[in-house]
Amino acid sequence: VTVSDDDLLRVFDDLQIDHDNKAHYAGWLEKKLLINRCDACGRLHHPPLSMCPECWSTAVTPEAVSGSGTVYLKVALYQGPVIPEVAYAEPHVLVTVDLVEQNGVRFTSSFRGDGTSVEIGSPVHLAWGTRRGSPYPVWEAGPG
Amino acid sequence: VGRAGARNPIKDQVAIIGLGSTGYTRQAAGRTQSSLALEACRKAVLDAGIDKSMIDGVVGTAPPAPYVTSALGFKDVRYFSTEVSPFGHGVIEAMNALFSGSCDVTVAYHSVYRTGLTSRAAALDPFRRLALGPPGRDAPERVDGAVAYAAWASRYMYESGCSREHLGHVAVSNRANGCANPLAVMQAPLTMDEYLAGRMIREPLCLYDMDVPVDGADALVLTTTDRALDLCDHPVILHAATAGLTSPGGYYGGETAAADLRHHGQQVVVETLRQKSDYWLDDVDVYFPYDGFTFITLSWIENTGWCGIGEAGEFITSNLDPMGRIRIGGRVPVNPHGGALAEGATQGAGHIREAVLQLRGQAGERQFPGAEIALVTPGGFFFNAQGLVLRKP
Repeated sequence: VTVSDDDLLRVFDDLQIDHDNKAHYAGWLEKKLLINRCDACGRLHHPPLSMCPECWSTAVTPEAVSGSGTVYLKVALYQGPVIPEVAYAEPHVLVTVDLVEQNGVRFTSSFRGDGTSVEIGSPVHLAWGTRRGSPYPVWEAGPG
Repeated sequence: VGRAGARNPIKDQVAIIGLGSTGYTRQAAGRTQSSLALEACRKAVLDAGIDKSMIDGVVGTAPPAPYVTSALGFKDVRYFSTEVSPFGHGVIEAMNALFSGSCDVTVAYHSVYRTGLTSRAAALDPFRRLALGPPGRDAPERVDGAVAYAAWASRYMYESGCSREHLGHVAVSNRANGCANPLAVMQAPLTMDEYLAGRMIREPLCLYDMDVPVDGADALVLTTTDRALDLCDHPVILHAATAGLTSPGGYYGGETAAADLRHHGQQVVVETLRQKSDYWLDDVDVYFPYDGFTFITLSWIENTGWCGIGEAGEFITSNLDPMGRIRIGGRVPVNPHGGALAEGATQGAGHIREAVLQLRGQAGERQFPGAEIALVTPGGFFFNAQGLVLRKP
C-alpha cells in the first residue's frame, strides 16, 4: 500500500498513527485488515509493534487476514466521542474479536447491525463502512 | 509466576509516620491540583510531628516531585521521583529509596483533579476549560481505559455468571461505608433498586459501577522503622509490597490484547505477595480491594483467594451485613471508608490512607476493633495492579 505519511494522517486524523502502525492503517484504504506476522517465528501480534514480542525478531510483515473471528469482548456505549456516524441515539456496540488466524490475536471495532443480537462467543466477519470518505473496518454478524 | 519464592529483605524495614488528606470534592472548587497536593503533604508532615527540614526524599504523581520540593521549601532533597498512579507505586518507590539509604525521611503524595472534560462541575471553572486547549477528535472505537474495563466486565460476567445484582452489592456496600467517612463525596446510601435503575453508561457498567470523578490529594510521610519507632507512637509498618505486570496487553491502549482473565497483573501481585508476606487472609483484619469499577473488586476478591475463581459475586452476597456492607466471614470489613465508589476516585490513595487509619486505631466509627493487619490491593488488571500488607508494630 503506497500512501505518504502526510496523506495518511490527513485521512485518519482521529487515530493515533505512528511509524509502527502506519502500514496497518494504510491497509484500510484498500479494505485490507493487515496484522503483523513475525517472519522468524510465524506468530501474529496486534496492535502493531516494531518487533515480535515473543522472539524479538525485527522482521515483521503486515499480512492481510481473512476477517473471520469470534467475539471476545463486547461493550455498548451510551455516550462517547460524537461523530456524524455515531451519535448514541441507540447504544453503540463495539466488539473485540479473536481472529481465526491465531487464538488471542484480536481486532476491535464497531459492530454494524442489531447490537443486541451479538454476544460474546458469536461468530462475526469483517466488513467495510465509510468514515469521512475513506474505508473503515466494522464487524458484522455471522461467519461471513 | 514461574519463579520459586520471592525475596523480601525489606520486610518490616520501612514505616508510615505521617498522614495528610485534603478530603475529596465534586464541586468546582477554585483551586489548582498543585494546591491540593501541597496541602496533603503539609498535613502529612505536621501529622508526623517532624520539622520539614528532616524531609530528604520526595515521591509523588502530580505535580512533579521537583515542583513539590520547591513549593514546600524542602532543602537538600537527596532522592526524588515522579510516579505513575495508582498510589501504591509511590509508596513502593519511597519504601525502596528509604531501605536502600537513598534518603531518610520521605514524603509520598498522590493527587487527582478533574478536567473540564471529565466533569460538568469542573467545566464551570474557566481555568480548567482553558487548560483543555482546542477540542480533540477521537474515534468512538478506542477501547482503552474506562471503555476497556467495561468491555472486560462483559467478559467477566460471561465467564463467571456474575449478575448485575452481584455488581450492585459492591456499589451498595461501598456507599453504605462512605456514609461514615467525612472525607467521602458520597454521603448517602444507595439501594439495590437505585443501582439497578442506574443510568447505563458503557454497558454492562452503569453510573454506579464507576468511581466518582473528584479533586483531592493524600500524602504520607515514611521513614525507616528504627527511626519511626523513635519519632512516632503509632507507626504503621510496611510488611510486604509488590506491583504486578504481564504481557500481552499490559499497557494503556493495549488492554484488549490481554490474554484472558486468568493472566493479568492481579495474579502476579497475589502470587508474589503471598510469598513475601508472613501474614495472609486468615490474619487480615481489614481488606482494601480496588474499586475503580465494581467488577474489579469482585476480581480482586477471587484472585486473592477469599473464594474460588468466578465465585466472588455469590461469595459477597453471602457475606453481607444487615446494612448491605461486605463483611467477609462476618468479620473483615471491605473498603470501610467507601472506596473509590463512595469516597471518590482517589486511585488507591484513599485505600492506603484508610488502612493506615485503621491500623492506628484512628478510624472513628469505621474502626475495626484491634485491627493489626491490613491487605491493600490497588489498581486494576493491565498496567497498575499492586498489593501491600501493612501491620501494627
